[in-house]
Amino acid sequence: MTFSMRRVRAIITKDWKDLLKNSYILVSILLPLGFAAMLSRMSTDDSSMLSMPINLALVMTGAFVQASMMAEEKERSTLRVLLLSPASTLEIMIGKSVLSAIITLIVVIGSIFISGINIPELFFFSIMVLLSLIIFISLGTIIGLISRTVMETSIVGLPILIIFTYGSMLSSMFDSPIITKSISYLPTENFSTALMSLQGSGGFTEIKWNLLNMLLWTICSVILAIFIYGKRRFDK
Amino acid sequence: MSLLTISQLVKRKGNTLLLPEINLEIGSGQCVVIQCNNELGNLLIQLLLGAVPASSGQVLFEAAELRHEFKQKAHKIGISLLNDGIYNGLKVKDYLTFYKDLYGTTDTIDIVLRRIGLLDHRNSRLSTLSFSEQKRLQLGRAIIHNPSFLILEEPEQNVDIESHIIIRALISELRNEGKAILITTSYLADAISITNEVYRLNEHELKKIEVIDQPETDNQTDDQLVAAAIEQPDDGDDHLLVTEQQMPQSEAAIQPASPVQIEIQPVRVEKIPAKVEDKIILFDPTEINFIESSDGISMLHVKGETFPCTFTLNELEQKLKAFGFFRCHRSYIVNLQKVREVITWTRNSFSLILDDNKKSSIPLSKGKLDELKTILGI
Repeated sequence: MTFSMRRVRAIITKDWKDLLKNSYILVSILLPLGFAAMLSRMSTDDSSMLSMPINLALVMTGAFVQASMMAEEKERSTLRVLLLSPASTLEIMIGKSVLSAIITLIVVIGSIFISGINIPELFFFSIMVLLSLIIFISLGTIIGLISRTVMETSIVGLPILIIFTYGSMLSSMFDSPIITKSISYLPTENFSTALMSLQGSGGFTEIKWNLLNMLLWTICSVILAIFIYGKRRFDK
Repeated sequence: MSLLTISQLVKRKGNTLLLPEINLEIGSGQCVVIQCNNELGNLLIQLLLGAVPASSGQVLFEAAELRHEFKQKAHKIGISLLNDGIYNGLKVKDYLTFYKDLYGTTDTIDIVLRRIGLLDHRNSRLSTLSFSEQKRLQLGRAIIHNPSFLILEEPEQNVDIESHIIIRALISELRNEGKAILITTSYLADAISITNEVYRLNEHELKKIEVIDQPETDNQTDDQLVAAAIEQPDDGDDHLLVTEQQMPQSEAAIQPASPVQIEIQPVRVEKIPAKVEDKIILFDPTEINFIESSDGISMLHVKGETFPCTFTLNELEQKLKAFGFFRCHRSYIVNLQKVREVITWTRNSFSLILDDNKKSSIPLSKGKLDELKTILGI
């Protein structure tokens, strides 16, 4: 099977044009931006809230755009048409992943501008965003593989959304050491703490454990995505 | 040389035969229509494409097993299935351009748009197209890469008369270009008017239906009509007018075509009616295993089930004699084709054992034994 950039590009172009008309995806793109705008007006002092718009953009846009693009192909039975063309599932999935990565990056940058967070160390920050991007697009791929319709992506994806974005709120709500501990291992939490250390003029030494944690999450989520892809083929 | 060769393709599930053995060859410029119910047709296509594994047999495309090398051959095959989805958010031109890029062809989409009569809708969103226009677009999508082999599932199902004409003309054009085409349809009338190579597929067999030559003139009228249909701008009131004007014409073109062409060389149309509740079921005489008279009603035994028939046993005997049926007993008529054994219990009592699932045993009266022997030539 030959891999063709031309086909990947065709898929990206098609998905881009299609999702501009898709209200579900537009909402998941605009919601993080709206949230960022809201937060910038609240002028909160809670430092954990600082990274919230970025995290929300990563989870909401990264995971959900990817998942719903995949599920939609199945739901409308356009996937079968694609599979009967020379395009392979790998090309289809790479096309979709690239598009959702681009959109997510735009939303992340947009929410940084809107919420007015100042980014101290651009290099480390970029690495952190990149790692999160891979994590959440892999998670989105998993959701897209599991669910058959766009409706199902919300059902499957909602717990993930709540746990990952509102983890810090959950930990303060339950006030149990186990939950707090386990939530502190989430990539989003590590992202927040790392961002805070960077803002507190910290360097690599301060955030290295956070980076390691995110790297592990990246590796695990990619492996899990590949595993689930093998089990529940996109075309089934 | 045949492009697609299907040999001994069979699909079983457990012990039930889902698809009977199929042997079929399709070459360039050949259009084969298989008339069958939708479920069987879909199963056949799935088997051809290798989406469903076959129990036995193989499907060769250009001498390579299609199932294993589908992706390599995909650019030579155009497929339009009944329930294919479309991207509602896209415009017609974007939709076709996407598939054009996917297949990497250099043809412009306008050629295809003209062939399917959607040139005016170049910039319309797919969601605004009517069902028939979407169907035409699907066909256009299937031929965008100029494939040498086409699989069309129910291309004419539920489309309006204008689309019907366009699709019909498109199929004959494609065939003239030397493409091999396989079509499944539920309607025999459609099947016969598309091509002369019509097969009928049911759970038991794939049978060729002989179609007598069709007059050449029909194609021409069709083409003219299409030209007229495409040239007319179809918007608003004009559109209504156009269709109204065309209706009688096109019907006139199609109507004579079907009855004249439907000259199936029949074995002999003799059906045995059975009444079940409100429905009347017509059985082929050969399907019937035996007929039993109980309480004055003739019961047809067909594939392990019984159906009451309105005819009396005597009437049935007259009707069915020609089909190899034999009155073996005062209250039994048996299909001699199905008889496997003649058992002699005692000197005066005999039985016929049938070759059906239940191995039904039917009494044979003593007086009838000699008659049976002469019929069978023992």
